[in-house]
Amino acid sequence: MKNNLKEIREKNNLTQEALANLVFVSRQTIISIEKEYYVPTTPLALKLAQILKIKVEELFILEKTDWK
Amino acid sequence: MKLKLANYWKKIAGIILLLAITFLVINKIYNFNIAKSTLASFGKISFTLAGLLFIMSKEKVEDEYIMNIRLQSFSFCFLLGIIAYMIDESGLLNFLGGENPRDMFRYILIEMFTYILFFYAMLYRIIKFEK
Repeated sequence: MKNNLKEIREKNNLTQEALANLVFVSRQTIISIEKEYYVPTTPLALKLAQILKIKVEELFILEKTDWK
Repeated sequence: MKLKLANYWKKIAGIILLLAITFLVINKIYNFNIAKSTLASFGKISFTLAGLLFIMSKEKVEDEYIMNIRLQSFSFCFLLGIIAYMIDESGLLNFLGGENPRDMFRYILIEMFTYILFFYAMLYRIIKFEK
């Protein structure tokens, strides 16, 4: 699963630390999502989308491999 | 794992670990005839308790990603424990000490160290790559 978290976060002038504090997770979690090492749970994905004021589908994009 | 202790228990675990190392070192230096086994056992129990408290205490921010790598670390050290048992049967782990050929303390050491190393390696590799 791809994501645009880094681009959208930077567009909102938020640091990883600031975003982490807003969604009550560690900075490592934000880094691992941005690097696509980790796919967040639905509640965290919704929280991120709400904080960044976008739709979840704009933040996380399904790839062909996700259907297999 | 629902049962978790507050973050300050890591510091308490550190103090217990220092005590455990002291007991084990004293036991090694002075060969007490009577107290030897008692002191060694006390050292081993303290060492295990320190590891257990360290593993069971929360990180400063305990979130879903931390829980995820915690689970991965547990799975990894569980598998390694089984492999260690198989290797121990062949006698390759004798350098780790212990009076009995298959001393439980060895497995506890292997599993605790593996867990802690794996967990923190997973947690901090991301920050390292980020810089």
